Amino acid sequence: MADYPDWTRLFHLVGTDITIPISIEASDVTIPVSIDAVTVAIDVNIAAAAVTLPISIDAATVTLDVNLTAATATIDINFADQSVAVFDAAKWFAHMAAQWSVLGNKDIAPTSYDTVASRTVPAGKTAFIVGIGWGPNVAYDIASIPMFLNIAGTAVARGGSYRGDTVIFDVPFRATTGQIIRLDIYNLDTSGRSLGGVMWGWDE
Amino acid sequence: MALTPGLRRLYSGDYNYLSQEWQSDGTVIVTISGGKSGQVHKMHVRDLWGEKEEVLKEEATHPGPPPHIQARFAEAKEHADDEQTT
Repeated sequence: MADYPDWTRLFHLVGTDITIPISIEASDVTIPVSIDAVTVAIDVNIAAAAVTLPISIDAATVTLDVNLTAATATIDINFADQSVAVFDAAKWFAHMAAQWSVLGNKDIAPTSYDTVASRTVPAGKTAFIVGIGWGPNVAYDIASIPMFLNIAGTAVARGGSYRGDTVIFDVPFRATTGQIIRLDIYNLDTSGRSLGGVMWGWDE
Repeated sequence: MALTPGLRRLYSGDYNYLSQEWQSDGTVIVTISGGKSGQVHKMHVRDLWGEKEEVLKEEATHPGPPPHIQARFAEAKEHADDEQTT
């Protein structure tokens, strides 16, 4: 079997002013870049007085997937400028105006449960529950106070401890318009206790 | 039955913060703040979220700095204006 040639400097330009325009007009454009090799190194080194790399995407929907599958992955972003502005408007900047928090307290009878915080998802909204917290209002020696997070009458999360806890959800729970979100606490003590809870999130 | 101003905020979502003090008789004292209205609504509600929901009492306040802080703000602003004109 014949050996393949080793290609180097397949694209090498030398000049004072070099412009490489690429203009494509078509109904569908596909530019596949496929590299199959044992090791791959793609170095982009630019040395200039000023560098501008504009990326402008105008589309009805945009999907930018970056998938890394490796034993180890290192992503370094180093800024050595005098002033750096990195604007990430992906999440909370968009949700700050619609954030909500519901906090409640209730005296709960022994060995029974009750709702300490509840919310009906407002008209035309979808609620995303980001976190919950619960615990006693004073320093009781309590047997146990498990909690249940309910959406529309269905328990979607449960947690338990002797002192309560705070939980931030990696994936927010979702409740649709008109559904009631309830944070219930069980008081498994033999005495009535004043218990409280909080849940928070945003509406879209 | 027409919704009270506080309940309208509750069901339209015009609030950021909602607190509930559940009473032994099953009623709840609801306080909502934040949102566009700029008001704080405090309501005593029976059967919250239920079919027979009823507001027993409701009051609205306009939160802001207390009078003594407002007086200091005014004096500080007056002082700053004087320095600009001299």
